[in-house]
Amino acid sequence: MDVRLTDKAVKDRVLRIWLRRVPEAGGFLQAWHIDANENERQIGSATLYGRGVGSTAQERAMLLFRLPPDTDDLKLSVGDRVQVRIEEGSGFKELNLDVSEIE
Amino acid sequence: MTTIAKLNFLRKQAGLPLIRFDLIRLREEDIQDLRDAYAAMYEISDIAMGDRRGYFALARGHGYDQDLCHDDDRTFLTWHRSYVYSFEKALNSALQWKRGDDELELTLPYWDWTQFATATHASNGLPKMVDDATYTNSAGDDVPNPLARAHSLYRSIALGLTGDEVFTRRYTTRLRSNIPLLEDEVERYLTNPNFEAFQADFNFAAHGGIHVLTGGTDASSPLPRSIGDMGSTVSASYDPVFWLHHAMCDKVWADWQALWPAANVPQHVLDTVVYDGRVGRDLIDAETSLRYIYSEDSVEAAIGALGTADSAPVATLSAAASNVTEVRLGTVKAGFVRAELEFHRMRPPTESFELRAYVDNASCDASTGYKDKSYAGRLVFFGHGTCPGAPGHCNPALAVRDDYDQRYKHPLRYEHTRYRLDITRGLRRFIGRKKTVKDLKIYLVTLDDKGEVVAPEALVYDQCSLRTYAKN
Repeated sequence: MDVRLTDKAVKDRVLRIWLRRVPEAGGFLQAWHIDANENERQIGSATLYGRGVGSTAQERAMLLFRLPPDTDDLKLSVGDRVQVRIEEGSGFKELNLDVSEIE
Repeated sequence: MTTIAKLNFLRKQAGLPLIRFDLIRLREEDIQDLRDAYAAMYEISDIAMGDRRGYFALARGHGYDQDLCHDDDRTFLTWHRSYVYSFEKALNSALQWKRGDDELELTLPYWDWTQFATATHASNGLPKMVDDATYTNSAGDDVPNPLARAHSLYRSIALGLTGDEVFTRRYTTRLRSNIPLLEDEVERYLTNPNFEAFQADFNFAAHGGIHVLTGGTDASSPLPRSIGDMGSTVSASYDPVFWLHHAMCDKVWADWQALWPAANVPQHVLDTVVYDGRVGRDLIDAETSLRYIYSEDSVEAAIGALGTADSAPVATLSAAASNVTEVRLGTVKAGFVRAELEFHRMRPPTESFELRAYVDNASCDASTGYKDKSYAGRLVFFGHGTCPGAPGHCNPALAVRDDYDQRYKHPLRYEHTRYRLDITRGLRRFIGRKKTVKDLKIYLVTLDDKGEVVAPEALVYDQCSLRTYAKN
Protein backbone atom coordinates (compact mmCIF):
# COMPACT_ATOMS: atom_id res chain seq x y z
CA MET A 1 0.00 0.00 0.00
CA ASP A 2 1.50 3.29 -1.12
CA VAL A 3 0.59 6.64 0.35
CA ARG A 4 1.97 10.14 -0.08
CA LEU A 5 3.27 12.28 2.74
CA THR A 6 1.02 15.19 3.58
CA ASP A 7 2.06 18.65 4.66
CA LYS A 8 0.79 17.91 8.16
CA ALA A 9 2.75 14.67 8.38
CA VAL A 10 5.99 16.33 7.34
CA LYS A 11 5.43 19.24 9.69
CA ASP A 12 4.31 17.15 12.70
CA ARG A 13 6.69 14.27 11.92
CA VAL A 14 3.74 11.97 12.39
CA LEU A 15 2.03 10.14 9.54
CA ARG A 16 -1.57 9.18 10.28
CA ILE A 17 -3.41 6.85 7.95
CA TRP A 18 -7.11 6.43 8.72
CA LEU A 19 -8.84 3.18 7.80
CA ARG A 20 -12.58 2.94 7.23
CA ARG A 21 -12.89 -0.14 9.37
CA VAL A 22 -10.53 -1.74 11.84
CA PRO A 23 -9.02 -4.69 9.92
CA GLU A 24 -9.49 -8.26 11.03
CA ALA A 25 -5.75 -8.88 11.21
CA GLY A 26 -3.38 -6.81 13.27
CA GLY A 27 0.32 -6.86 13.85
CA PHE A 28 3.49 -4.89 13.34
CA LEU A 29 3.75 -2.54 10.41
CA GLN A 30 6.54 -0.55 8.89
CA ALA A 31 6.60 2.48 6.65
CA TRP A 32 9.21 2.59 3.91
CA HIS A 33 10.25 5.72 2.10
CA ILE A 34 10.77 5.06 -1.61
CA ASP A 35 12.55 7.67 -3.67
CA ALA A 36 12.43 8.29 -7.40
CA ASN A 37 15.12 5.70 -7.94
CA GLU A 38 13.18 3.09 -6.01
CA ASN A 39 15.63 3.24 -3.12
CA GLU A 40 13.91 2.11 0.04
CA ARG A 41 14.45 3.22 3.60
CA GLN A 42 12.46 2.24 6.65
CA ILE A 43 11.22 5.44 8.28
CA GLY A 44 8.67 4.39 10.89
CA SER A 45 6.80 1.57 12.53
CA ALA A 46 3.31 1.12 13.88
CA THR A 47 1.16 -1.47 15.56
CA LEU A 48 -2.30 -2.39 14.42
CA TYR A 49 -4.71 -3.74 17.02
CA GLY A 50 -6.96 -5.80 14.79
CA ARG A 51 -10.52 -6.76 15.50
CA GLY A 52 -9.86 -10.51 15.21
CA VAL A 53 -11.66 -13.30 13.42
CA GLY A 54 -15.35 -13.31 14.23
CA SER A 55 -15.53 -9.75 15.55
CA THR A 56 -18.25 -7.45 14.27
CA ALA A 57 -16.36 -4.30 15.24
CA GLN A 58 -17.07 -1.51 12.79
CA GLU A 59 -15.05 1.41 14.06
CA ARG A 60 -12.41 3.30 12.19
CA ALA A 61 -8.77 2.68 12.91
CA MET A 62 -5.64 4.68 12.42
CA LEU A 63 -2.05 3.75 11.67
CA LEU A 64 0.31 6.15 13.38
CA PHE A 65 3.92 6.33 12.25
CA ARG A 66 6.37 8.58 14.05
CA LEU A 67 8.66 9.95 11.37
CA PRO A 68 12.38 10.57 11.92
CA PRO A 69 13.94 14.02 11.86
CA ASP A 70 15.53 15.12 8.61
CA THR A 71 19.12 14.08 8.05
CA ASP A 72 21.64 14.80 5.36
CA ASP A 73 20.75 11.47 3.82
CA LEU A 74 16.99 11.81 3.94
CA LYS A 75 14.82 14.88 3.99
CA LEU A 76 11.12 14.13 3.97
CA SER A 77 8.95 16.25 1.69
CA VAL A 78 5.28 16.65 0.95
CA GLY A 79 4.25 14.14 -1.70
CA ASP A 80 7.01 11.66 -0.97
CA ARG A 81 6.01 8.06 -1.59
CA VAL A 82 5.70 5.84 1.46
CA GLN A 83 4.90 2.15 1.33
CA VAL A 84 3.27 0.39 4.30
CA ARG A 85 4.12 -3.23 4.92
CA ILE A 86 3.11 -5.75 7.54
CA GLU A 87 5.39 -8.16 9.29
CA GLU A 88 4.97 -11.75 8.28
CA GLY A 89 7.31 -14.44 9.45
CA SER A 90 10.81 -13.05 9.45
CA GLY A 91 10.09 -10.40 6.82
CA PHE A 92 7.54 -7.84 5.71
CA LYS A 93 5.03 -7.99 2.93
CA GLU A 94 2.92 -5.38 1.24
CA LEU A 95 -0.64 -5.04 2.37
CA ASN A 96 -3.70 -3.22 1.13
CA LEU A 97 -6.06 -1.52 3.51
CA ASP A 98 -9.21 0.51 2.98
CA VAL A 99 -7.82 3.99 3.56
CA SER A 100 -10.23 6.87 4.14
CA GLU A 101 -7.85 9.70 4.94
CA ILE A 102 -4.16 10.46 5.24
CA GLU A 103 -2.94 13.13 7.61
CA MET B 1 -2.80 -4.30 58.41
CA THR B 2 -4.73 -1.78 56.37
CA THR B 3 -4.92 -3.21 52.90
CA ILE B 4 -5.92 -1.15 49.90
CA ALA B 5 -9.37 -2.72 50.07
CA LYS B 6 -9.69 -1.70 53.73
CA LEU B 7 -8.16 1.72 53.16
CA ASN B 8 -10.65 2.46 50.43
CA PHE B 9 -13.51 1.26 52.58
CA LEU B 10 -12.44 3.76 55.23
CA ARG B 11 -12.14 6.46 52.57
CA LYS B 12 -15.65 5.67 51.42
CA GLN B 13 -16.92 6.00 54.98
CA ALA B 14 -15.19 9.37 55.16
CA GLY B 15 -16.74 10.49 51.87
CA LEU B 16 -13.40 10.53 50.05
CA PRO B 17 -12.75 9.19 46.55
CA LEU B 18 -11.30 5.71 46.32
CA ILE B 19 -7.71 5.37 45.16
CA ARG B 20 -6.35 3.30 42.30
CA PHE B 21 -2.69 2.57 42.86
CA ASP B 22 0.23 1.70 40.65
CA LEU B 23 0.41 -2.08 40.36
CA ILE B 24 4.01 -2.20 41.50
CA ARG B 25 3.09 -0.26 44.68
CA LEU B 26 0.94 -3.12 45.88
CA ARG B 27 2.16 -4.96 48.96
CA GLU B 28 1.95 -8.71 49.46
CA GLU B 29 -1.48 -8.55 51.08
CA ASP B 30 -2.77 -6.27 48.34
CA ILE B 31 -1.47 -8.58 45.65
CA GLN B 32 -3.16 -11.48 47.39
CA ASP B 33 -6.42 -9.54 47.51
CA LEU B 34 -6.15 -8.86 43.79
CA ARG B 35 -5.40 -12.48 43.00
CA ASP B 36 -8.19 -13.71 45.24
CA ALA B 37 -10.62 -11.27 43.67
CA TYR B 38 -9.78 -12.41 40.14
CA ALA B 39 -9.99 -16.04 41.24
CA ALA B 40 -13.37 -15.36 42.84
CA MET B 41 -14.62 -13.86 39.57
CA TYR B 42 -13.46 -16.98 37.72
CA GLU B 43 -15.18 -19.18 40.30
CA ILE B 44 -18.43 -17.26 39.97
CA SER B 45 -18.34 -17.62 36.18
CA ASP B 46 -17.70 -21.32 36.46
CA ILE B 47 -20.78 -21.67 38.66
CA ALA B 48 -23.01 -19.37 36.61
CA MET B 49 -21.76 -17.92 33.34
CA GLY B 50 -24.17 -14.98 33.35
CA ASP B 51 -23.61 -13.89 36.96
CA ARG B 52 -22.69 -10.24 36.67
CA ARG B 53 -20.03 -10.55 39.35
CA GLY B 54 -18.27 -13.16 37.25
CA TYR B 55 -15.38 -12.80 34.83
CA PHE B 56 -17.24 -13.97 31.75
CA ALA B 57 -20.05 -11.47 32.23
CA LEU B 58 -17.54 -8.63 32.04
CA ALA B 59 -15.02 -9.97 29.58
CA ARG B 60 -17.57 -10.91 26.92
CA GLY B 61 -18.75 -7.30 26.76
CA HIS B 62 -15.62 -6.21 24.94
CA GLY B 63 -15.26 -8.89 22.32
CA TYR B 64 -16.64 -12.38 21.98
CA ASP B 65 -19.55 -12.81 22.22
CA GLN B 66 -21.25 -9.50 22.86
CA ASP B 67 -18.77 -7.44 20.90
CA LEU B 68 -20.02 -4.19 22.36
CA CYS B 69 -16.78 -2.31 22.00
CA HIS B 70 -15.14 -0.83 18.96
CA ASP B 71 -18.05 0.48 17.02
CA ASP B 72 -17.22 4.12 17.59
CA ASP B 73 -13.63 5.19 18.10
CA ARG B 74 -14.81 8.67 19.11
CA THR B 75 -15.98 7.29 22.45
CA PHE B 76 -12.93 5.16 23.14
CA LEU B 77 -12.10 6.91 26.41
CA THR B 78 -15.58 7.12 27.90
CA TRP B 79 -16.53 3.60 26.82
CA HIS B 80 -13.50 2.07 28.47
CA ARG B 81 -13.75 4.26 31.57
CA SER B 82 -17.22 2.89 32.14
CA TYR B 83 -16.15 -0.64 31.28
CA VAL B 84 -13.20 -0.66 33.68
CA TYR B 85 -15.39 0.89 36.37
CA SER B 86 -17.94 -1.92 36.07
CA PHE B 87 -15.18 -4.50 36.15
CA GLU B 88 -13.68 -2.92 39.25
CA LYS B 89 -17.00 -3.07 41.06
CA ALA B 90 -17.54 -6.69 40.04
CA LEU B 91 -14.02 -7.46 41.21
CA ASN B 92 -14.81 -6.02 44.62
CA SER B 93 -18.17 -7.78 44.78
CA ALA B 94 -16.42 -11.06 44.06
CA LEU B 95 -13.85 -10.47 46.79
CA GLN B 96 -16.56 -9.51 49.27
CA TRP B 97 -18.43 -12.68 48.40
CA LYS B 98 -15.38 -14.88 48.74
CA ARG B 99 -14.25 -13.35 52.01
CA GLY B 100 -17.73 -12.88 53.45
CA ASP B 101 -16.69 -9.33 54.22
CA ASP B 102 -18.71 -6.41 52.90
CA GLU B 103 -16.33 -3.85 54.38
CA LEU B 104 -13.99 -3.99 51.41
CA GLU B 105 -13.54 -1.56 48.53
CA LEU B 106 -10.90 -3.11 46.35
CA THR B 107 -9.84 -0.89 43.49
CA LEU B 108 -8.20 -1.93 40.27
CA PRO B 109 -4.49 -1.06 40.10
CA TYR B 110 -3.00 0.33 36.91
CA TRP B 111 -0.12 -1.22 35.03
CA ASP B 112 2.21 1.63 34.14
CA TRP B 113 3.75 0.21 31.00
CA THR B 114 6.06 3.21 30.65
CA GLN B 115 8.14 1.88 33.53
CA PHE B 116 10.48 -1.05 33.96
CA ALA B 117 12.59 -2.25 36.87
CA THR B 118 14.33 -5.57 37.17
CA ALA B 119 13.14 -5.95 40.75
CA THR B 120 9.49 -5.80 39.82
CA HIS B 121 9.37 -6.76 36.15
CA ALA B 122 10.06 -9.91 34.19
CA SER B 123 12.62 -9.79 31.42
CA ASN B 124 9.87 -9.49 28.83
CA GLY B 125 8.70 -6.19 30.32
CA LEU B 126 5.57 -7.44 32.06
CA PRO B 127 5.24 -6.99 35.83
CA LYS B 128 6.27 -10.20 37.53
CA MET B 129 3.05 -10.45 39.45
CA VAL B 130 1.10 -10.85 36.22
CA ASP B 131 3.78 -12.74 34.28
CA ASP B 132 4.57 -15.49 36.76
CA ALA B 133 2.58 -18.62 35.97
CA THR B 134 2.43 -19.59 39.63
CA TYR B 135 2.96 -18.02 42.99
CA THR B 136 3.48 -19.28 46.51
CA ASN B 137 0.44 -18.74 48.67
CA SER B 138 0.33 -18.15 52.41
CA ALA B 139 0.25 -21.91 53.03
CA GLY B 140 3.51 -22.29 51.15
CA ASP B 141 1.98 -24.03 48.16
CA ASP B 142 2.76 -23.13 44.57
CA VAL B 143 -0.57 -22.41 42.93
CA PRO B 144 -1.63 -20.99 39.54
CA ASN B 145 -1.46 -17.21 39.32
CA PRO B 146 -4.94 -15.84 38.49
CA LEU B 147 -3.32 -12.76 36.96
CA ALA B 148 -1.39 -14.80 34.40
CA ARG B 149 -4.21 -16.33 32.45
CA ALA B 150 -7.95 -16.94 32.39
CA HIS B 151 -10.48 -19.15 30.67
CA SER B 152 -11.64 -17.47 27.45
CA LEU B 153 -15.06 -18.04 25.95
CA TYR B 154 -13.60 -17.02 22.60
CA ARG B 155 -11.26 -19.95 22.84
CA SER B 156 -13.63 -22.56 24.28
CA ILE B 157 -16.80 -21.65 22.39
CA ALA B 158 -15.94 -19.65 19.28
CA LEU B 159 -12.83 -21.67 18.44
CA GLY B 160 -13.90 -24.91 20.13
CA LEU B 161 -10.60 -25.34 21.94
CA THR B 162 -10.38 -27.67 24.90
CA GLY B 163 -8.05 -28.57 27.75
CA ASP B 164 -5.27 -26.16 28.50
CA GLU B 165 -5.95 -24.29 25.28
CA VAL B 166 -9.06 -22.64 26.73
CA PHE B 167 -6.75 -20.37 28.73
CA THR B 168 -5.40 -17.07 27.44
CA ARG B 169 -1.77 -16.86 26.37
CA ARG B 170 0.77 -14.12 25.86
CA TYR B 171 3.80 -14.25 23.60
CA THR B 172 5.41 -11.09 24.86
CA THR B 173 8.78 -10.69 23.22
CA ARG B 174 8.95 -7.06 22.11
CA LEU B 175 7.39 -5.15 24.95
CA ARG B 176 10.51 -4.38 26.91
CA SER B 177 12.36 -2.81 24.00
CA ASN B 178 9.37 -0.56 23.32
CA ILE B 179 8.97 0.81 26.85
CA PRO B 180 11.10 3.94 26.24
CA LEU B 181 9.05 4.67 23.12
CA LEU B 182 5.82 4.21 25.04
CA GLU B 183 6.99 6.65 27.69
CA ASP B 184 7.89 9.16 25.00
CA GLU B 185 4.54 8.65 23.30
CA VAL B 186 2.54 9.32 26.45
CA GLU B 187 4.54 12.48 27.10
CA ARG B 188 3.69 13.61 23.59
CA TYR B 189 -0.03 12.93 24.03
CA LEU B 190 -0.14 14.95 27.21
CA THR B 191 1.06 18.07 25.39
CA ASN B 192 -1.91 17.99 23.04
CA PRO B 193 -4.80 20.12 24.32
CA ASN B 194 -7.28 18.82 21.75
CA PHE B 195 -9.45 15.99 23.09
CA GLU B 196 -10.09 14.29 19.77
CA ALA B 197 -6.47 14.41 18.69
CA PHE B 198 -5.26 13.23 22.09
CA GLN B 199 -7.75 10.38 22.10
CA ALA B 200 -7.02 9.22 18.55
CA ASP B 201 -3.25 9.20 18.93
CA PHE B 202 -3.46 7.47 22.29
CA ASN B 203 -6.01 4.90 21.14
CA PHE B 204 -4.25 3.88 17.97
CA ALA B 205 -0.66 4.11 19.12
CA ALA B 206 0.25 3.38 22.76
CA HIS B 207 -3.03 1.72 23.72
CA GLY B 208 -3.18 -0.49 20.66
CA GLY B 209 0.55 -1.00 20.83
CA ILE B 210 0.33 -2.54 24.27
CA HIS B 211 -2.28 -4.95 22.99
CA VAL B 212 -0.12 -6.05 20.08
CA LEU B 213 3.13 -6.08 22.06
CA THR B 214 1.66 -7.99 25.00
CA GLY B 215 -0.21 -10.49 22.88
CA GLY B 216 2.63 -11.11 20.49
CA THR B 217 2.68 -13.99 18.07
CA ASP B 218 3.86 -17.57 18.16
CA ALA B 219 3.46 -20.39 15.71
CA SER B 220 2.10 -22.59 18.49
CA SER B 221 -0.85 -20.28 19.19
CA PRO B 222 -4.21 -21.84 18.28
CA LEU B 223 -5.72 -18.39 17.69
CA PRO B 224 -6.18 -17.21 14.10
CA ARG B 225 -2.95 -15.77 12.74
CA SER B 226 -1.10 -17.26 15.69
CA ILE B 227 -1.53 -14.24 17.94
CA GLY B 228 -1.82 -13.97 21.71
CA ASP B 229 -5.22 -13.08 23.14
CA MET B 230 -4.39 -9.46 23.84
CA GLY B 231 -3.70 -8.87 20.15
CA SER B 232 -7.27 -8.55 18.90
CA THR B 233 -10.41 -6.91 20.22
CA VAL B 234 -12.47 -10.08 20.05
CA SER B 235 -10.23 -11.93 22.51
CA ALA B 236 -8.28 -9.32 24.51
CA SER B 237 -10.53 -8.78 27.50
CA TYR B 238 -10.27 -12.39 28.61
CA ASP B 239 -6.60 -11.83 29.42
CA PRO B 240 -6.41 -10.68 33.07
CA VAL B 241 -3.83 -8.05 32.17
CA PHE B 242 -6.35 -6.34 29.88
CA TRP B 243 -7.97 -4.64 32.88
CA LEU B 244 -4.71 -3.46 34.37
CA HIS B 245 -3.73 -2.04 30.99
CA HIS B 246 -7.00 -0.20 30.62
CA ALA B 247 -6.76 1.18 34.12
CA MET B 248 -3.49 2.70 32.92
CA CYS B 249 -5.19 4.06 29.80
CA ASP B 250 -7.81 5.65 32.02
CA LYS B 251 -5.09 7.13 34.22
CA VAL B 252 -3.36 8.69 31.22
CA TRP B 253 -6.66 10.32 30.32
CA ALA B 254 -7.08 11.49 33.94
CA ASP B 255 -3.57 12.95 33.83
CA TRP B 256 -4.41 14.69 30.57
CA GLN B 257 -7.62 16.06 32.11
CA ALA B 258 -5.65 17.50 35.01
CA LEU B 259 -3.35 19.26 32.56
CA TRP B 260 -6.17 20.55 30.35
CA PRO B 261 -9.16 21.08 32.64
CA ALA B 262 -10.84 23.50 30.25
CA ALA B 263 -10.50 21.27 27.20
CA ASN B 264 -13.61 20.99 25.10
CA VAL B 265 -15.11 17.51 25.01
CA PRO B 266 -17.17 16.96 21.84
CA GLN B 267 -20.94 16.88 22.26
CA HIS B 268 -21.08 13.44 20.68
CA VAL B 269 -18.86 12.09 23.44
CA LEU B 270 -20.95 13.75 26.12
CA ASP B 271 -24.23 12.47 24.69
CA THR B 272 -23.32 8.92 23.80
CA VAL B 273 -24.40 6.06 26.03
CA VAL B 274 -21.53 3.66 26.64
CA TYR B 275 -20.98 0.42 28.52
CA ASP B 276 -23.48 -0.41 31.27
CA GLY B 277 -25.79 2.37 30.14
CA ARG B 278 -23.74 5.27 31.41
CA VAL B 279 -23.82 8.54 29.51
CA GLY B 280 -20.58 10.15 28.40
CA ARG B 281 -21.12 13.37 30.32
CA ASP B 282 -21.37 11.44 33.57
CA LEU B 283 -17.95 9.93 33.01
CA ILE B 284 -15.86 13.00 32.37
CA ASP B 285 -15.20 13.97 35.99
CA ALA B 286 -14.34 10.59 37.48
CA GLU B 287 -13.52 11.94 40.92
CA THR B 288 -16.91 13.56 41.33
CA SER B 289 -19.18 11.19 39.48
CA LEU B 290 -17.47 7.81 39.89
CA ARG B 291 -15.65 8.58 43.13
CA TYR B 292 -12.14 7.45 42.35
CA ILE B 293 -8.74 9.00 41.75
CA TYR B 294 -5.26 7.77 40.84
CA SER B 295 -2.18 7.89 42.98
CA GLU B 296 1.44 7.33 42.07
CA ASP B 297 2.38 7.37 45.75
CA SER B 298 2.76 4.43 48.08
CA VAL B 299 -0.17 2.84 49.84
CA GLU B 300 1.39 3.75 53.17
CA ALA B 301 1.37 7.42 52.20
CA ALA B 302 -2.31 7.24 51.45
CA ILE B 303 -2.99 5.52 54.75
CA GLY B 304 -1.03 8.21 56.58
CA ALA B 305 -2.86 10.97 54.75
CA LEU B 306 -6.22 9.54 55.73
CA GLY B 307 -5.36 9.80 59.41
CA THR B 308 -7.53 6.92 60.49
CA ALA B 309 -6.81 3.85 62.51
CA ASP B 310 -7.32 0.28 61.41
CA SER B 311 -10.65 -0.07 63.14
CA ALA B 312 -13.52 -0.08 60.73
CA PRO B 313 -16.62 2.00 61.42
CA VAL B 314 -19.70 0.38 62.84
CA ALA B 315 -21.76 -1.25 60.15
CA THR B 316 -25.29 -0.05 59.53
CA LEU B 317 -27.86 -2.17 61.29
CA SER B 318 -30.39 -3.79 59.06
CA ALA B 319 -34.03 -3.34 59.95
CA ALA B 320 -35.70 -6.44 61.23
CA ALA B 321 -38.53 -7.78 59.12
CA SER B 322 -41.97 -7.82 60.64
CA ASN B 323 -44.46 -10.44 59.51
CA VAL B 324 -47.96 -9.06 59.51
CA THR B 325 -51.26 -10.85 59.01
CA GLU B 326 -53.36 -8.44 60.99
CA VAL B 327 -52.68 -4.84 60.14
CA ARG B 328 -53.96 -2.27 62.62
CA LEU B 329 -54.43 1.06 60.89
CA GLY B 330 -56.04 3.14 63.63
CA THR B 331 -58.62 5.77 62.76
CA VAL B 332 -59.50 6.31 59.13
CA LYS B 333 -61.58 9.19 57.85
CA ALA B 334 -64.08 8.77 55.06
CA GLY B 335 -64.10 10.98 51.97
CA PHE B 336 -60.94 9.72 50.27
CA VAL B 337 -60.81 9.17 46.52
CA ARG B 338 -58.28 6.39 46.78
CA ALA B 339 -56.91 4.16 49.53
CA GLU B 340 -53.83 2.00 49.25
CA LEU B 341 -52.01 -0.40 51.50
CA GLU B 342 -48.29 0.17 51.08
CA PHE B 343 -45.77 -2.57 51.73
CA HIS B 344 -42.38 -1.07 52.42
CA ARG B 345 -39.14 -2.82 51.52
CA MET B 346 -40.99 -5.85 50.23
CA ARG B 347 -38.53 -8.58 49.15
CA PRO B 348 -39.41 -9.90 45.70
CA PRO B 349 -40.35 -13.53 46.42
CA THR B 350 -38.79 -16.61 44.88
CA GLU B 351 -42.17 -18.27 44.31
CA SER B 352 -45.35 -16.72 42.94
CA PHE B 353 -47.90 -15.64 45.52
CA GLU B 354 -51.20 -13.89 45.80
CA LEU B 355 -51.82 -11.54 48.68
CA ARG B 356 -55.47 -10.80 49.49
CA ALA B 357 -56.68 -8.11 51.84
CA TYR B 358 -59.90 -8.31 53.84
CA VAL B 359 -61.36 -5.59 56.02
CA ASP B 360 -62.23 -6.51 59.57
CA ASN B 361 -62.50 -10.22 58.84
CA ALA B 362 -60.21 -12.17 61.14
CA SER B 363 -61.54 -15.49 59.93
CA CYS B 364 -60.76 -15.00 56.26
CA ASP B 365 -59.05 -17.80 54.39
CA ALA B 366 -58.66 -19.16 50.85
CA SER B 367 -62.34 -19.90 50.58
CA THR B 368 -63.36 -16.34 51.42
CA GLY B 369 -62.72 -15.42 47.82
CA TYR B 370 -63.32 -12.16 45.99
CA LYS B 371 -67.07 -11.86 46.37
CA ASP B 372 -67.11 -11.61 50.15
CA LYS B 373 -68.10 -8.16 51.33
CA SER B 374 -64.92 -7.92 53.39
CA TYR B 375 -62.69 -8.42 50.34
CA ALA B 376 -60.69 -5.26 49.66
CA GLY B 377 -58.17 -6.11 46.97
CA ARG B 378 -55.16 -8.23 46.05
CA LEU B 379 -51.58 -8.21 44.81
CA VAL B 380 -50.10 -10.97 42.66
CA PHE B 381 -46.37 -11.55 42.82
CA PHE B 382 -44.59 -13.16 39.90
CA GLY B 383 -41.83 -15.16 41.60
CA HIS B 384 -38.32 -14.63 40.34
CA GLY B 385 -37.47 -18.31 40.66
CA THR B 386 -34.50 -20.16 42.03
CA CYS B 387 -31.24 -18.26 41.92
CA PRO B 388 -29.30 -19.11 38.74
CA GLY B 389 -26.09 -17.50 39.93
CA ALA B 390 -23.24 -18.31 42.21
CA PRO B 391 -23.90 -18.17 45.97
CA GLY B 392 -24.90 -14.67 46.96
CA HIS B 393 -26.04 -13.76 43.46
CA CYS B 394 -29.65 -13.11 44.47
CA ASN B 395 -28.75 -11.36 47.68
CA PRO B 396 -29.27 -7.63 47.28
CA ALA B 397 -27.54 -7.08 50.60
CA LEU B 398 -24.31 -8.08 48.89
CA ALA B 399 -24.96 -5.66 46.06
CA VAL B 400 -25.33 -2.32 47.74
CA ARG B 401 -25.37 0.55 45.27
CA ASP B 402 -24.34 4.02 46.27
CA ASP B 403 -22.24 6.94 45.07
CA TYR B 404 -19.25 4.61 45.02
CA ASP B 405 -20.92 1.89 43.00
CA GLN B 406 -23.13 3.06 40.19
CA ARG B 407 -23.76 -0.20 38.44
CA TYR B 408 -27.39 -1.06 37.78
CA LYS B 409 -29.31 -1.72 40.91
CA HIS B 410 -29.69 -5.33 41.90
CA PRO B 411 -32.86 -6.64 40.25
CA LEU B 412 -34.08 -7.94 43.60
CA ARG B 413 -33.34 -4.75 45.45
CA TYR B 414 -35.93 -3.87 48.03
CA GLU B 415 -34.43 -0.85 49.77
CA HIS B 416 -36.87 1.45 48.04
CA THR B 417 -39.66 -0.86 47.00
CA ARG B 418 -43.19 0.19 47.81
CA TYR B 419 -45.79 -2.28 46.65
CA ARG B 420 -49.28 -0.82 46.66
CA LEU B 421 -52.51 -2.68 47.08
CA ASP B 422 -55.61 -0.72 46.09
CA ILE B 423 -58.31 -1.23 48.73
CA THR B 424 -60.43 1.79 47.82
CA ARG B 425 -63.67 0.00 47.01
CA GLY B 426 -63.46 -2.49 49.86
CA LEU B 427 -62.67 0.18 52.41
CA ARG B 428 -65.41 2.48 51.16
CA ARG B 429 -67.87 -0.37 51.41
CA PHE B 430 -66.78 -1.05 54.98
CA ILE B 431 -66.94 2.60 56.05
CA GLY B 432 -70.32 3.14 54.42
CA ARG B 433 -71.94 6.36 55.58
CA LYS B 434 -69.78 6.76 58.65
CA LYS B 435 -67.43 9.74 58.85
CA THR B 436 -64.67 7.77 60.51
CA VAL B 437 -63.88 4.27 61.67
CA LYS B 438 -61.69 3.62 64.66
CA ASP B 439 -59.18 0.82 65.04
CA LEU B 440 -59.42 -0.28 61.43
CA LYS B 441 -58.03 -3.79 60.94
CA ILE B 442 -57.02 -5.29 57.64
CA TYR B 443 -56.35 -9.02 57.40
CA LEU B 444 -53.92 -10.38 54.84
CA VAL B 445 -54.03 -13.87 53.41
CA THR B 446 -51.11 -15.24 51.41
CA LEU B 447 -51.77 -17.98 48.86
CA ASP B 448 -49.37 -19.96 46.72
CA ASP B 449 -49.75 -20.65 43.00
CA LYS B 450 -52.07 -23.58 43.80
CA GLY B 451 -54.41 -21.34 45.73
CA GLU B 452 -53.38 -22.80 49.09
CA VAL B 453 -52.91 -20.53 52.08
CA VAL B 454 -49.29 -20.38 53.15
CA ALA B 455 -47.49 -18.94 56.15
CA PRO B 456 -47.34 -15.15 56.10
CA GLU B 457 -43.55 -15.40 56.31
CA ALA B 458 -43.59 -16.32 52.62
CA LEU B 459 -43.75 -12.61 51.95
CA VAL B 460 -41.25 -10.45 53.77
CA TYR B 461 -41.48 -6.70 54.22
CA ASP B 462 -40.63 -4.20 56.88
CA GLN B 463 -43.84 -2.30 57.26
CA CYS B 464 -47.38 -1.97 56.02
CA SER B 465 -49.22 1.34 56.09
CA LEU B 466 -52.36 2.92 54.72
CA ARG B 467 -52.22 5.86 52.37
CA THR B 468 -55.41 7.71 51.49
CA TYR B 469 -55.80 10.47 48.95
CA ALA B 470 -58.16 13.39 49.48
CA LYS B 471 -60.31 14.82 46.70
CA ASN B 472 -58.02 17.77 46.17
